[in-house]
Amino acid sequence: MKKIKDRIGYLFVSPFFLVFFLFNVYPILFTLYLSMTRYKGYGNKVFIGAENFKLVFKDPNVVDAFMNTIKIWGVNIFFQIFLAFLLVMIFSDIQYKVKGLGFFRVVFYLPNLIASATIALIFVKLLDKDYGVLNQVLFNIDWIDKSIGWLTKPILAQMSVSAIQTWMWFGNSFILFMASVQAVSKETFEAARIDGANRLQVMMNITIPSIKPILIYVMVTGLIGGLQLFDIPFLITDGKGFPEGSLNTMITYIYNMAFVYKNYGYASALSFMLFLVILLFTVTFTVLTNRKEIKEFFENRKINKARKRELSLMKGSAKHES
Amino acid sequence: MKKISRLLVFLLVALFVLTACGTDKTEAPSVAVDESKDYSKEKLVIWSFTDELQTAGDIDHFKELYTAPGKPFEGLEVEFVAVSIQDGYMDKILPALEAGNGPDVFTGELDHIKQFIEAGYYADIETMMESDSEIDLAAEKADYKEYIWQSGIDPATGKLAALSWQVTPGAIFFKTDMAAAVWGSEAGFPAEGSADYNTEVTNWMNANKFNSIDNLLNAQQEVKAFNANWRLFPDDQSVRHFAAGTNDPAKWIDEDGKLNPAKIKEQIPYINLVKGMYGETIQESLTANAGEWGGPWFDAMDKDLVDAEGNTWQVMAYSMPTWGLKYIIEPNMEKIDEAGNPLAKPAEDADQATKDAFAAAAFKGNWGMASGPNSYFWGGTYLGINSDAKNPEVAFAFLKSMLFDKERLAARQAADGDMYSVESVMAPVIANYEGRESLGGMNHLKVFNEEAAKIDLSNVTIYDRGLNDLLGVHITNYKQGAEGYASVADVLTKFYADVQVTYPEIYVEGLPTE
Repeated sequence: MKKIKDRIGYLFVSPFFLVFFLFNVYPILFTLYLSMTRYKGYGNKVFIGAENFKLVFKDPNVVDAFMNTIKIWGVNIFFQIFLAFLLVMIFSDIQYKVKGLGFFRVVFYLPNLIASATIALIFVKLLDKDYGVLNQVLFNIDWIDKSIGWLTKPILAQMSVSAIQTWMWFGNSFILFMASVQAVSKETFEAARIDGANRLQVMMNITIPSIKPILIYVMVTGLIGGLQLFDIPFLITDGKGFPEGSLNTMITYIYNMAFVYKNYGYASALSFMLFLVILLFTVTFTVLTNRKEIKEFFENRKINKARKRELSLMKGSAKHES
Repeated sequence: MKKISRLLVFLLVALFVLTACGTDKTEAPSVAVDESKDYSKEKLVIWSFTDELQTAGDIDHFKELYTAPGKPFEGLEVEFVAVSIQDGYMDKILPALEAGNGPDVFTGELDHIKQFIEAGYYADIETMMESDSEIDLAAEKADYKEYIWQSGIDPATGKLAALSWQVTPGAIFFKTDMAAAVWGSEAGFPAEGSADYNTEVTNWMNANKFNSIDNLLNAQQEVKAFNANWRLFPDDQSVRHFAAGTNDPAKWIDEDGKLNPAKIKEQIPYINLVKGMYGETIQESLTANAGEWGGPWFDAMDKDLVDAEGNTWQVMAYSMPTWGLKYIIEPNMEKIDEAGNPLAKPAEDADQATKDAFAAAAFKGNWGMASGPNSYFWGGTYLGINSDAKNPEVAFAFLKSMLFDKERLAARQAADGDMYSVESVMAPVIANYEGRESLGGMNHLKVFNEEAAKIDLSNVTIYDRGLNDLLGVHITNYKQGAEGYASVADVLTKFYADVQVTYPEIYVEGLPTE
């Protein structure tokens, strides 16, 4: 009877594993297989072993694309979290008593709902050096006397994309942070206030600890998403990564390699390497930010093992005595 | 083997052809019908990268001839899928074809069909034509433009695998009034008022300003010198079609399958031309820095551009192919009322009557159409049949209704005014053509026809688009003065490094850097 029940249990969990193997494990393994071939997207797949992986280490574009991605992501994630956190401080402050949280939540989240293609098109028009609205406005108010190449100077282009990403995503982080803070009872903030805690103390001792798990979640998902940055740089530059390749991110490079240049083998090798890098970053980051929990986990495991050992010894001696 | 057996089945079926000849236009032509099939349960799937087959009525025409009640494939369903190139037509169709789930009939541009042919996805339509009693293969071959026919041949079999009803040669469309202002005082420039004024100006421009890469650069400098706020081209993409500078361009890939040094040397004058045209600001540039397909690029066709600083700029010329005139330039040309006064373009939210009145108004007719330093083509839709098509006889019937029904092609041409690759369709049209109003009555079809005759597509390879893109990235870096790009040699060295990574199979040591 127990066995039948166990089997039914497997049946219940099988849809997850089926989907997981079909849409996660299989594509990863197939990418690994493709990465060891020379393949144009049609015709034969010629097995070439580790040649594509060797090429990854020789290709200077890989380092450039990776560094571009890190730069754009780094600035974006800093400002995304900073801005979201700043807003959380304002909206959770019991003294300010800011009203209309629901309204602002919608407003801040709106950019996240607009299609990337639309956003890219709008910003290309806004930031165009010669005919863009932003430069036009800055000229009219006499802030500049020469057009600024928002998308034609490498550093400015990267910062512009970071700014767009921040604008798109800070609302998302804000909602997550705010939900964590709201889970803390209002009395805690009031008690701290009555006890004479200043804003910095409230932030350090109540706000930050309350959002820590979600902060780590945002950082990890931001890291994964950031290293896969693609749509805005791709759409702004039509996939070319201008200026001077500064908007050529890892995924843009992989996309072009596969779908423009039809080198699916090398593109797969790049994808697989990026997968490993993301895995490494994620594991490292998780370990660093959860040292206490990991330590506790291993200590508990040790204790449990010792208990089991003691228990089995006790059982053994009881048998012997009987 | 599977493909051969399918072809044999198709040929066998063709032996038992049911012939249905008649005088009624909607009566189906002779077609191979497989008696064992219930066509009402079958489906013809067609994929294309434009919706033209649907909007031009080609699918309806096929249905009328073949699938309507009483027709050979009565009740057959026709499924049409349009996926634009921007939406990843190739990324979607290649896996489908690879998996054996591809459409029965599918289109492609020239470099696409080269890939389809290389992969063996296109069936041999030449043999199907030979088997059809109504098609005279030799006559069809003679009737189609040679370069169109040749470009659809599968080199492995020597047989035709894809064919296009279009030719898409390109030209430089320019404003004759601006040209007259700049060069009107030069020797031989035609006097205004003659009957064929636009044609004469075009001929003069062909002979004096647009005939070489050097002259193309000089012409831009002269326009700028005449008026500091005038530019010949909107941006440097306008000259990319003239990278070869000759009607006998080298191939990107040599006979050994490696990168061709002759082609690389051919690119050097073009690289210098682009560098010479570039300026960080419009004041410094020889172009209006209005990127292709951007808002200002379109705007400059019929109005002054206003930059962020408030300066106004005017653009004289655009490089566009056949379809560009009808779909891109003409909708943005200036129009005049009956008294010859310019008409303001209606706003997007204007009422339909205002829009219709503007559409019906006469063109100012101040555009000419010249050739560049070399003839070029841009776009074009080829048709082919999937070598794994479940119903090849149906797929071939569709091709037949589109490519070999000359009456239908003539009617189609009359409707869209486009350039077709079929001599019997185009010859009478060109001979009787009254001229394009937007071009001041110029017989642009004759010019396109002559341009098409100069195009040799035997030099196109499957690597062309990729290599041009790769080189283009480095040319852009060079013109913008990016770090590490001090000379043409730097451009080429970095280009070779990219080729080594991207296309290791064609890379070879010792390629020229100057």
